[in-house]
This record gives sequence, C-alpha cells and structure tokens, in this order.
Amino acid sequence: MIPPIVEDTIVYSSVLILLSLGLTLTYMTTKVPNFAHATISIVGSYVTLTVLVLSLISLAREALISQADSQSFYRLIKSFSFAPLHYALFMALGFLLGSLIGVAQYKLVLKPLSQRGANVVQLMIATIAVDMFLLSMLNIYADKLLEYVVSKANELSSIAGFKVNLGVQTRDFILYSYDYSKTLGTQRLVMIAPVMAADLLVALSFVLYRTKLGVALRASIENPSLASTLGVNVDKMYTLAWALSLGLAGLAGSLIPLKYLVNPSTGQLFVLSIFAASILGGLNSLAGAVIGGVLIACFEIPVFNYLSSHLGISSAYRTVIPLLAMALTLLFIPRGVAGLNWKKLFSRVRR
Amino acid sequence: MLKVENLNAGYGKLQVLHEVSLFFPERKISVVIGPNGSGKSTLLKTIFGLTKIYSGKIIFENNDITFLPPHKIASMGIAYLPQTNNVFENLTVEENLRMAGYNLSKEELEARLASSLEFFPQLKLYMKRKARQLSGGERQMLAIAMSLIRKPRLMMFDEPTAALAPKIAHQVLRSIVKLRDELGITIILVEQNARAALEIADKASLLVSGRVIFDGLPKDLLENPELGRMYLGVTSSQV
Repeated sequence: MIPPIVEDTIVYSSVLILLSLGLTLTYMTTKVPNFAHATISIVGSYVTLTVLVLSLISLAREALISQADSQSFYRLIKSFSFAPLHYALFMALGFLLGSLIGVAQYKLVLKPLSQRGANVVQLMIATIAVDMFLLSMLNIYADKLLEYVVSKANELSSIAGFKVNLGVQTRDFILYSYDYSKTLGTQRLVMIAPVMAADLLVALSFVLYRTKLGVALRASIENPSLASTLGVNVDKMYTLAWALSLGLAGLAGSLIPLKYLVNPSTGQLFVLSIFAASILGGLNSLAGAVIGGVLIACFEIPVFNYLSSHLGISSAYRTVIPLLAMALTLLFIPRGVAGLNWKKLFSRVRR
Repeated sequence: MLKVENLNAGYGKLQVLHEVSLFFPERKISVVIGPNGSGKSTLLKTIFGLTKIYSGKIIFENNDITFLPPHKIASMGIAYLPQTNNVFENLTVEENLRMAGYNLSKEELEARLASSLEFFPQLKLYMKRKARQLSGGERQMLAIAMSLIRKPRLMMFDEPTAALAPKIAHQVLRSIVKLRDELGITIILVEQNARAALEIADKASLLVSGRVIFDGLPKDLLENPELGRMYLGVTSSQV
C-alpha cells in the first residue's frame, strides 16, 4: 500500500513534468512564455469528462434496453470505471486537441504578430489573450455539456419510466471514483501517470536525439537562420514544436480530473507551478524541465505537508512555494539547475 | 552565374544597400571588400533572402530568386556561411554534418558525407565532439564541410577568417581556393582582410556606404592609389 502523500507526489510530479516539458519547448522555439499553456491542458480535462459522459450515456442506454429497474440501473452506473481503452481514447484525444490548439496559437496569433515586429512583451500579452479566449470557450463548453447531459438524462428518463440522473457535473468535477481499482487498492492513475511521463520522455528523447527530424528541430531551436540556410523549413519545425508541446499539455490535462477538482479556470492554479518548474529547470533545457517538475512537486507536497503539520502553516499558502522557487531561482541561479556546473559542485561536496 | 541588379535592401526601415548592381562569374572567386558598415555582409544576407528587399533583382543561373525564402534559395545550390554562428554549437560534428544534408536521401547523404570528410580529413577525429568544443579554425572547416555536403554551385563566405590566427586564416583561404580549383565552385568572399582576400581573388568589388565604388579586377583596385589608400590601407608600391 503506497502512502497517499507518495501517491500524490508521484501523480503531481508526472503531470508537472509533462506540462513543464511543453512550456520549455515552446519557450525555446519562440522565446515567449505561453500563459495559455495551463488552460490548454484543461481542454484535455474536458476531453476526459466528455469521454465519461458519452460512455455513461451509452451504458445507461444499454441498461435500459435490457429493461433494468431503477436499483440495478444505478448500481450499474455507479460501478462504471475507465477501461484501458478509455484511457487510450482520452489521452490520445487530449493530445490531439492540445496539438491543434497549439498549432492554431502559433500560426494564427504568434507568427503573424512576430512578422509584424511584435516584441516579447507584446507576444506574451497575446498569450494571455489566448488564455482568456480559451477560458471563455471552456466556460461555454461546460454549460453546453451540462445542457447535453440534462437533455440526455430526460430522454433516458422517458424510456426508463423513472428519473435518470447520470451524476455528472461539468464544473468542480473530480473523476476519482471512475479511476479507482479494487485490485490495486488505489487509483490506476498512480501507475499510469509516471509510466506515461517516463514513456513520453523516452519517446521525446528518441525523437530529438536519434531521428533526423529531431536533430533538425534542435538545430532550428538553437540557430533558426543557420538551419534555414541549410534547407530546413524552420517554420515547419516550430509548428511541430508547438504541436508537440501543447499535445503534451492536453495529454497531461486529460489525467488531471482523475485526481484533482477541475473547473474551466483550474489552469490558473497550475500555471504558477508549471512556470516555477520550467524556470527552476533553466527554461532552455528539457532535462531541466524534468528535474524542475520533480523538485516543485516535492516542495509543494511532501515538504509543504511536513511544514504545515509541524509549523501549522495553512494549506492556502501552498501557492507561495512555486512563487518562492521562481524568485529564489531567478535571484541565485538564473540559468536554473541545468545551468549549474555540476562537476564543480560535486568536487566541492567531496572536499 | 549570379547577377544583382539595382538592389535596394536593408533591415526594416533602415536601408543599407543603395542601387547595388554586380555580377559574380562562374567558377571564380569574387571578393567584396569595404570599410565597416559598408553593407558587405548585408549584400550576402540579401542574396540569401535574410533581409528586406525594397526593389531590384537577384538572378541566379537565369532564375529570379529575389523574394524566395532562404530554404528555397539553399535548395537551388547556393550556400551561405555567416561570419559567426555558422555551426550548431550544441550538436556534435556528425550531427552538424548530417543536418547539412537534411533534404538528401540516406544513401546520398552517406556518399556526400564521405567526400566532404575527404576534403577536411581532420574532422573525422572529432565526429562525436560537440561543435562548441572545436577551435575557431576547426569550426570554419566544419562550416565549409557542411556546405559542401549540399554540393553547392555557389558559396558565399562572410568574413571566414575573422578572429582567426594568421596561420589558420591562411589555411582557410587556401581551402577556399581549393573549392574553386578542385570542385569548380563559384565563390563570393566578403573579407575585412582585404589584402589577403585580393591575393586569391579573380574579381573584386568595393562597397562604401552601401554603394558600389569599384567593380573590376583585383589588380586594378590595388593599383588605384586613391581607393587603395582610402579603403584598403595599401599603396600601389605595396602590391
């Protein structure tokens, strides 16, 4: 049995790694911190909710066709849990939708603005505008999804002859119960999230360091004008980087509601931690983003938990941790952990 | 080979080149010299599609390349070696060389990699080394080797000997002569070290404040007492 605090740290660090990896990759290409990154991940959360809604409606319809009574109907609905196919579906759709939004953000907003000579601050403000737009879209979607759920429940009620309630909320929802495994004695997410993060890291490293496309992407990031002189279509490479980054965000977001309470603005709670992880990692290093993600998760969960239980600090102050991490990193190690001279540090420690 | 006609270009609203018209003949080394800020580097960047062109034409082998993006120009057989940042520092020597052949098939890339390394055999020793760990001369060799992989018909060098020790600079200029003599590549060379460049040149152009002041044989430029004294720091007696 894994202690809950360890479970929480594993899941949170896995999600943060995926999110900070994406943020770092977009920053490395366009040199703009993307403030819409976290909200795009919440699009992934709504993908998971939509998959749940559609699965429940289909299950309810099948139950009513086989003329289940009210008691057995609700027993069946309550016993629903995500199957491997569901995980594959919402993670793949989360990735795909995140990628599409990423490409749209790069092609329709950032690239045209850059071509018109917009500076970093203007581009940064544009990402805030994209964030607000997506937030509004998510709010509209949450309302429309609720309307859909209610209309389907009414439709099913007329077939069933009793009041059908699918028990789905589209704001402040958490899908913990649909992910619980009796055999494991815990959530499947505790296994899936780190395996997924590790797999994606290995896949990303393979693509970046072992394929022609990856080397071209790294070359385009390091020196876009030289890459273009060698015949590389840098714009295509940047589009790929944005698709990959926001795809990772969408995928990470699809896992968030399995553990945390989600509403359209949940991204704003995550954005601080994602930025802190990327900055602590050095903003220009993918390996740094991974280390940053793990460190911030450890500071925010076990370390803060220890402090709050021993010093009585309220959990409301948890957001101070990423802020503090950002401030201290920028003050003392502005190039992040990736910029440290580890050889020198180790030799000092040995002495 | 390459013709520039009435070219006006610059960066945003800052015009650097004014009515520049030049011709760069095939299989020859054409040197472009001039004082700092005269627009030499901007000329190469403009030919390669890296600046804003207000008016004029750039014709390469009878094709108008004036407003083409750099990757299209590169695919037409033109290589541009910038003064700095001409290799990917965080990639290994091998990755740099493979990047140069990005659009080639695997078999073709392997063949060209081998022939490029034949031209600079010393690079074989550093294949797994990051480019940032190379010396200035080795980096220039790598940059030229990268260009060779794409079998260019025209190579444009922007101050390839800048910040190099005289002996290494001499080696780099010798390599450029070899490119013309052994591979028949047309060279456009922008150089601060005017005397060394003119020694290997077949044709010379002098740019001052973005305008062509002289265009002809290197000998004629060196023998022109006024231009030699004002812009080259030489007199005819030194030739």
